[in-house]
This record gives sequence, structure tokens and C-alpha cells, in this order.
Amino acid sequence: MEKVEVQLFAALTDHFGRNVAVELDGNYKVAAVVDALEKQNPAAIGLLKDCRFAVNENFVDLNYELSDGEQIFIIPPSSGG
Amino acid sequence: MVNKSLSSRPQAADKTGHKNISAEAIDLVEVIANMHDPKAGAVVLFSGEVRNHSAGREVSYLDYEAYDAMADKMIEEIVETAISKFDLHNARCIHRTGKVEVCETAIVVVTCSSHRAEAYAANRYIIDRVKHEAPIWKREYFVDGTMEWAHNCSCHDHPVH
Repeated sequence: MEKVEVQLFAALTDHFGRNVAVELDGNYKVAAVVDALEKQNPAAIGLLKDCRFAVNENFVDLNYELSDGEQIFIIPPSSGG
Repeated sequence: MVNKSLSSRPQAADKTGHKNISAEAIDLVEVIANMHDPKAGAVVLFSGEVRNHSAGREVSYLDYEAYDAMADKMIEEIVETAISKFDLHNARCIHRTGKVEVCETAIVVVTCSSHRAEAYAANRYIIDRVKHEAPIWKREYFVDGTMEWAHNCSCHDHPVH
């Protein structure tokens, strides 16, 4: 069981705070992180479905496998400007 | 051409080193003063400002949050793409973070080209892409004391006629 650090922004912080540690067991894909967050807070499922994901300041998809110590940033739909 | 454009840009917009993201008020006069170019017959400045209404509700102010490092990098890439795509002499985009009052600038885009068509088109290209793509979010604070995160970019709700 490994913990992955997750950084959150904007409306997601209302559900999880600025950061949260998610425990994963064997599957370190981004999709597994999202599944864990959805289980932790089902009210965030709709918003999580619209999010993008970044690791080391680059976008990654749900199939990206996190390496040891890598943080994931979960990015809700933009509303700048 | 791209390198030449970069060299004439102003220094960092704030103390974080993210020159396209600023936690401080944007001084439009200062921004445009750094953008004049002897080759540019057209300099277009767009200031996206906080309005006092949103979907029929009275807005008190907005608060912007950004994933600073990534937003800065993405704005840089969008500006560089615009310079190349529209053959600009220079371009600049700065987005605010933090509390922004009504009538204050939340985002400024300046584009400089030989002729106006390219400067206008490039300016629109930059603002549209930054609004849709950059990891920046606004929270609306209403006069009635409530607040909410703004929904996705709403430009398609207000088509140009």
C-alpha cells in the first residue's frame, strides 16, 4: 500500500482541501487515484469527470502510471479571464 | 523573430518569477509602454475586466486562483504560438490572481503587428485559448454575501453577432 500526494484546486478544494494523500494498492495509474477520490467523496464525481491531470507540470491521461514520489495535480475546467 | 520578441519583453510580472501571472494589480499603461515596436503599425490591447453582474446577479468582486507554474508556462506557449502563427512583432499576456475588484483588469493581452488585422486576430486567439486552457479559476463574490466558483468559460453563451 503506497500513498500518493494529490494537489487540488478551485471547486475541488471544497471537497478535499488543498491536498490529500490517497492510498493505492498495486495500481498507480491516474485512474486509480480518481477512483479513490470518488469513493472518498461521491459528491465530487461529476466534477472529477471533467478534470485534467498534471504531473511535473505536464498533462497526463488516466492511463499514466505514477512513479514513486510523484505528485498528481488535479485540474478542474478552466474559468479564467 | 521569436527570440527578438522575447528579448524586448518586460521583466517578471510579480515576485514569483512567473511573468505571465501577477498577484499585483496590472498597470495597463506600463504594460503597453513596454510593447511599442518600430515595425508595428498596430498595437491592440485587450483588458478583461471584472463586471458588476453575472447571470443576473450583482457581483461584488472576483477572486482568482491559478496553478501558477503551469498557467505561466501555458500562457507563454500560447503567446509564442500566436507570435509565430500571426507573424507578430511582439505579444504579451498577464493574468491576475487574488482579489480583483469591479473595473479592475483580470487579464491583459497585447499584440503588435505590422497591420491591424493580424493584431486583432492574434489578440482574440490568445484570450480565447488562455480562457479555455490555462489552469486558472475564478470565484464570484456577490453583493448578497454569497459566493460560488464560476462555471466553465462561457464565451459560447455570448456569440458575436
